[in-house]
Amino acid sequence: MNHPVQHVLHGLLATGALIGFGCDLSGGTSTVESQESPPRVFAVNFPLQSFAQTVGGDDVVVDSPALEGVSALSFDPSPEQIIKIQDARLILLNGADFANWTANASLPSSRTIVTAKGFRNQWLECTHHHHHHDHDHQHGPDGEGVHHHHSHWASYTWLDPNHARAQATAVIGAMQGVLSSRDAMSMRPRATALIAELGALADQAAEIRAAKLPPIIASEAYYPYFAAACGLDLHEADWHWNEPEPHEGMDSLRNLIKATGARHLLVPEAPTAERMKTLRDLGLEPVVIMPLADPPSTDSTASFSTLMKANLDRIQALGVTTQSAE
Amino acid sequence: MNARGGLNAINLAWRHLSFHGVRSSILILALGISAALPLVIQSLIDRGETATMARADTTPLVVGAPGGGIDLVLGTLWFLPEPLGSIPARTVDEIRESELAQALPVSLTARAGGAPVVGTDVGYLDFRGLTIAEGRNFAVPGECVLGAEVARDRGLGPGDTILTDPEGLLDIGGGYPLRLRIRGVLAPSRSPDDQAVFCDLRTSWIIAGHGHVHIDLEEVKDEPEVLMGTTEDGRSIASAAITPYTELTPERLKTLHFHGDPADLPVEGIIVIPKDTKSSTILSARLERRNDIQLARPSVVIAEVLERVFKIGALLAGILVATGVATLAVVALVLALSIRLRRDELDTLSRIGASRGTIGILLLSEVLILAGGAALFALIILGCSFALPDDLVLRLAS
Repeated sequence: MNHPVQHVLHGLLATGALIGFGCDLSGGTSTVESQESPPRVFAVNFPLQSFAQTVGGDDVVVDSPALEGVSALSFDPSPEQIIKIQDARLILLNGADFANWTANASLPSSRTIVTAKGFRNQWLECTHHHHHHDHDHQHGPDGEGVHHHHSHWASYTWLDPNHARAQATAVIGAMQGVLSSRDAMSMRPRATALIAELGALADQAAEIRAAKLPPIIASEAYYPYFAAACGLDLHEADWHWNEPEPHEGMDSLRNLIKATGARHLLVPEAPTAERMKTLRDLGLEPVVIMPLADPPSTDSTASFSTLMKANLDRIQALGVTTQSAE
Repeated sequence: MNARGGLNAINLAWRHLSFHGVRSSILILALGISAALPLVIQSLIDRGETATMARADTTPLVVGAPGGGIDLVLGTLWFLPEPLGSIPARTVDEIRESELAQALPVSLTARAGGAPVVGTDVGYLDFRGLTIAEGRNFAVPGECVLGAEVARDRGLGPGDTILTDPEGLLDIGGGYPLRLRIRGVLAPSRSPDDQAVFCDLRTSWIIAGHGHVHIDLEEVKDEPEVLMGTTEDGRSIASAAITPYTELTPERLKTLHFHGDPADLPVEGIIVIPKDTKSSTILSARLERRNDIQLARPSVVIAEVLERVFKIGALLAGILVATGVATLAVVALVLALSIRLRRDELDTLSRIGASRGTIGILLLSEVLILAGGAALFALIILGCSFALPDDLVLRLAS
């Protein structure tokens, strides 16, 4: 097929062809970041950011909304920001409907890891209505064929330490693929330590589950996985707990307290003085369980494991308190 | 005969050919074309084979609806307009979840300005080694990037828009065209990617009518082509000329939803890139067992296609060589007759002292100058043929 004469002719013509027919020698913009720079990892929330940073150390650059000063809950990236995320060597998503913006973002599937996908059959339905979900409507009399289940998963999977460990394992597996073999080797001890920390948290949750705590009320819809992990008798209040009075959910909260006999309210952060007084008047003691989608403050350097341990310690203390009271 | 005599003979040959310029030009053209055509055909076939096989070889596996493997491969790799069957998008997830391969969906249901609109994963550009020459990649549904030829031929660039072609003028139930926002232009790649429009898979689904957005009338109240105004009691009055297309703005994207589970929505092809040989073997065995999909190996399918093309090409090249030989014979005859007609002229040269060697050089020089001119002309034609697409043969064959 390839004759020697033609090879000679092709060789003679190659230069002319390059010049004459517009061979593009100008560099274009690569769609992926340079393979030589430290791998950049995008994490959609604080737990994944913490896992990636703990495991990757200085061998990776981790980006996340919180590091940009934006809450992971309100992060709604512009197309230009999505392009920056596309360029990351690894994109760590949570799954379970966390971060609605990901549903409409064009992200490269080969570099995108949905860390909660491995335990999809253990995702919990969210009983709380999403007020921002403004496109519920029906096509046809019964709404058949309309796919709206995506608004109904509870998202805070990492509040179950077992799930957090599974997500960390997914992060570690994905990061092995983006690090050089030398960096991947140095990552192993850190990965082992992280899994051990999360394993200890899972054991602590199991201890709490065995302790059978009294009924508890949740102020927000953050805690289904936490309740499942710790075996809590949790009742969700439709009450915006930290907003100033008057509040329309107060009557239903009183009814809930009366029906359950609960004396503790799970809250995501320390209540204001005014709200603390309201809670005490209701006979409720707030227990701060950080949702940890974001770090507790912008200057916080604590890891997810440390903060989650604090969460578990606070809920475990309820068992001690209850036993003392008895 | 000295060197000066030889040079004089060459000069005389040149003068003679120049004096009979039209005849000489015709001879050069005839010889040049006869020599160039087989070379051009062979070059196109060789380049076509290289380019076509390169694209096929870099696409390990393709999955699509059961049917013709050739159509599936040509559609998925070359975006040909022939309609393909579809498979549900969940197949893409199944392949990804096997962790044996990367899977890139390809949706080909739409066209924009005559160019194929390829709905795919944003990783497709990385897979093909395509770079953005101008602007940026697509980031959300409704955005697209143009292949280099599409942008050049239509004079479009980042910031412009392009309307998808209506499904059918008589299809009153069909969806409105979608006005795609052009965000970037790809660098030329001398491949079918230069002639396509790339967007998110969800964009293709919206074009095909599998999903939609809702337009807030407040958002368009200042657009007279949509809303004429409001009544005194605040009710909106729609224009008779409703905008005949849809556009996805950031606000409208918040209302985007699909009819049915996205996993059930169609894709026409899936490019499968196994992690390694072992993964490829395992995955191929799994996929080949299924009756609801078809697995094709582009390198095998394209080799079969090229074999047929080459048989035709070889036949054509043979015909052209025969034609060239006949042309050469005719030219030789013309030259022989020319010498006979020039007998008086050559006798005169001999009588004024030109040796037989000088006369021989004169005639040989004429032949060589004609042959050289023809060779140069053939090279120019061959050079021009490099401007043609590398995969022209496959395009013509398909």
